[in-house]
Amino acid sequence: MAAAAAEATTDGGGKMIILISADGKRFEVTEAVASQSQLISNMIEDDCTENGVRLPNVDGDILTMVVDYCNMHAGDAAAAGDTMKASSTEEELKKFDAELVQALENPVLFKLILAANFLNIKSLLDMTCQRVADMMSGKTPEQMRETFSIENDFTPEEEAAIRQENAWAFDD
Amino acid sequence: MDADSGDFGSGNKLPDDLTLDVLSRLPYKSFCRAKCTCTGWLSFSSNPHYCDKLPKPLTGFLYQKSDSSAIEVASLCPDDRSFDTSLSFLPRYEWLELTDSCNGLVLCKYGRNTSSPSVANFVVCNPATRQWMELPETLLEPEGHSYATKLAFDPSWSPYFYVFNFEEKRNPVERWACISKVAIFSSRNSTWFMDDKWEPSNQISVDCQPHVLLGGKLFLQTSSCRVLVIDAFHNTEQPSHWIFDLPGYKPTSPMVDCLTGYLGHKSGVLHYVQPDTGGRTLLVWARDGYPHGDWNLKHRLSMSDAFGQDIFLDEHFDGFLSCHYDIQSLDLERGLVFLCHFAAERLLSYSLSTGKLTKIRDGLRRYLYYVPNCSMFPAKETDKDQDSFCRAKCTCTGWLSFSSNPHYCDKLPKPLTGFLYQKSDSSAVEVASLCPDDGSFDTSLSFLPRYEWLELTDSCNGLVLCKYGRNTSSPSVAHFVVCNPATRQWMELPETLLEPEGDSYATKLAFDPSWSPYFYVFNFEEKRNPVERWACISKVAIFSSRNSTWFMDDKWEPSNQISVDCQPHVLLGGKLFLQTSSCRVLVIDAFDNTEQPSHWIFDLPGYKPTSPMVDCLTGYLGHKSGVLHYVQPDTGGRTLLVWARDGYPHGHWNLKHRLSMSDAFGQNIFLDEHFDGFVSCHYDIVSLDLERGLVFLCHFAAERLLSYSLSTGKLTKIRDGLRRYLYYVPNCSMFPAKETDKDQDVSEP
Repeated sequence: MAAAAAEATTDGGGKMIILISADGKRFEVTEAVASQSQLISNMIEDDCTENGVRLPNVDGDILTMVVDYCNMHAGDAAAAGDTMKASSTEEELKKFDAELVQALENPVLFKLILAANFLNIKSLLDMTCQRVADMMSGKTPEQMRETFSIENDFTPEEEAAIRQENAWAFDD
Repeated sequence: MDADSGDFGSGNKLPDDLTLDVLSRLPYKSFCRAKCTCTGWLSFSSNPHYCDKLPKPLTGFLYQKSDSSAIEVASLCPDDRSFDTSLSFLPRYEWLELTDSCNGLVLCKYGRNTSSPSVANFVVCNPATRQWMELPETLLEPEGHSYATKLAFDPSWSPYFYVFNFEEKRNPVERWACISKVAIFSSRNSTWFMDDKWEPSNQISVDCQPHVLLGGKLFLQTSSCRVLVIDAFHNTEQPSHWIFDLPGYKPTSPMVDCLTGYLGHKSGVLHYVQPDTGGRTLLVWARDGYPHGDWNLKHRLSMSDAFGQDIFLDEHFDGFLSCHYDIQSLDLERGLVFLCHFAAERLLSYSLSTGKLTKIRDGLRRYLYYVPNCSMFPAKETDKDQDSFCRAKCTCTGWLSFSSNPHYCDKLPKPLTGFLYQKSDSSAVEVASLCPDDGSFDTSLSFLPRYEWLELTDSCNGLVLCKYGRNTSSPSVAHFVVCNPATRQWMELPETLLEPEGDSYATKLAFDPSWSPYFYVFNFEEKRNPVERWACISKVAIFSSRNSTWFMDDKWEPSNQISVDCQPHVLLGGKLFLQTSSCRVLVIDAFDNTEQPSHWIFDLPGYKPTSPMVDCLTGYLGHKSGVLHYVQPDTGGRTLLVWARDGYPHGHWNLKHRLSMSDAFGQNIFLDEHFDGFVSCHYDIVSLDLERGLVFLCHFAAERLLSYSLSTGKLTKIRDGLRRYLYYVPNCSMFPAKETDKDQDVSEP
């Protein structure tokens, strides 16, 4: 038991992988952590992670968040057999996730969505897209425009028409 | 990759598929708001690649358990909670009973018949908008009758809804029922009227049978597997009805009882889906070429494959046969047939495209199909009257909020009406207002592009038709633009070809928002005979804004001697009534959804072909409360007769009022005889607004436009100096988008 745990810590379910951000920052993570990205998981299968994985679309500060997220969620799979541990992590994870997305300024949140999409980390993509949807929910079009700096490119006539068509959605 | 359509503002760029991912997570209501944010997001909803993924309104089945009055919903898709399907917004009625559902509206009965005489109370509500309307109570016969109540609503045909309360006399011995009368409620004027022209012993029963509202006709399946049609219930109190057979109707077949089909519709065509071969197949029939149509078999759907069984019929000890399933509802536009499997008490949907069954819900037998409709109830017609609008505002919070909602207040009663005119030396279109101009409408049409040779042609219920350009090209074409000064919208019509020479054209605009949101333009081609001085219509090009195309009606007899140039016209209940220069009425019907319009002629009252008065004492066609009217100078111009064409179509002209012009003008002689024997009258009728009790006259000598009030008998000057005016009452609704092809292959770019 103890031996197995020690082995997992040293090797991290295989070996360590180096992720290199657009601005040259290097992150050393275990294969188990990195495999949550479907993109990297495919690269591991294809055996082309020897010299580090360059991620030219992802900035260092965004990759920091992604790695934090993956480190946190890597426990998921590893602890699947241990029910007690799983339930406690589940709560911790929820708290971690909520704090992660809620603290983010808009442009950073959108960069995180793009990174999650590029790295193909489904759970992170779901969470970040849902966060944007939650921010939109219940807002008026004006508030949505303000929140996301969207330009109103309707003519006044078009806007009046479309608002009239959806008039029911504005009553509360 | 650049996000070129619908991104999240500066610094928040996402590619389309991710934006779509975000939008697809919104509740339907928030998604509808998001569509109003920018054109990019709006365009997602019309993109056939995306619309599958975007939030959709909740579709499902309403049901009510027998032990409770709560109405619940079985949803076909993940419930997004944006609609209150439990109808909790209704006042707390006792004995609320789910009765019918039609295109997003829900009809419920409430209360118990303890009063004497018996009355029925109904409420119609829209769960999507949380609006509701209590109907006035309707009387019931004391005993011996049963009632079947049907809700009819088709927003593509009319914004108003109708409730039909069929009274059926039942004969308990011979086990048939027959309709004795029908009370019909119209939300247009919020009253019930009684249709009691039903033959006794007709053996028609529509209780618990499906119905379809299509093109203004109500089609009801009867319990003897035929179709009852009720027509002309919307603007007359003279509905007509007739019967035709369903396909495969065999009165002697023992199968009839248990293999009953279900009436539905697709793309405006009546359909019927019917179990066949002992339930192993479903036949889908379409009634093509209505009204003289036939049932044509369109599909055979294998229930054996779908259920994985071959025997669907059970024979009971008394020889009675039953089928394992029946049809609960149809949504053929979405390719769905809803079935109920009896043994499992299971509601299933069958997809025509996949041939697969999907379980919706277990445990009940009676469901009403529900697809939300998010448009608000229109105010009833009399709400044009400021008083009744103020009363209507007190009806419920929803209506009160209309008046404070800036998106609605444009539509609410407003005083500005007036006359459009164009001086002969200018192309500017101007307005002579009947009341202080509040400047809220751009009546100078300055919002139009700068057309050369813009010519004010016609005006109808708030829309204005203008011709522009000159016929210098070859072949000759005519250019028209239709605009709405109140909303500053305009639509250029596709050009229409003109005959090279010898013909003249009369162009009429027809628009009646209470009948259809679309407008129609009629370009009458008239061949003129300069010697004998008559003209006759050779053909008519008809433009419909529904599909934005012209079609040609050339089924006109030669030498018909009908001319409608410079004559008034009225659009009423989908029929265009045109006064002809020979003082008769030309009716054009069925131009709205077919390319087979029909026309016929009837006489105006007081039509005397030999009278020398005819030329100078010409009347004017108008309408009031959905009835055709005709106002005609009589007794040498000293009186105006107001005639109403009651009881259309087999109607006759009844004299309603005599208006004294002698009193109004303070003179007794209105006719001048000229040296050539030609007689002229001092005034003529320029327009009518009988709903507001106004007749508009032009006094020739003074070149003065006057309004005459039926209620006060007084004349009021509107404006001096011109002869040709078009009456204009603003309409603040936007042009509807033209009907998009439902076939996605065609709409694909």
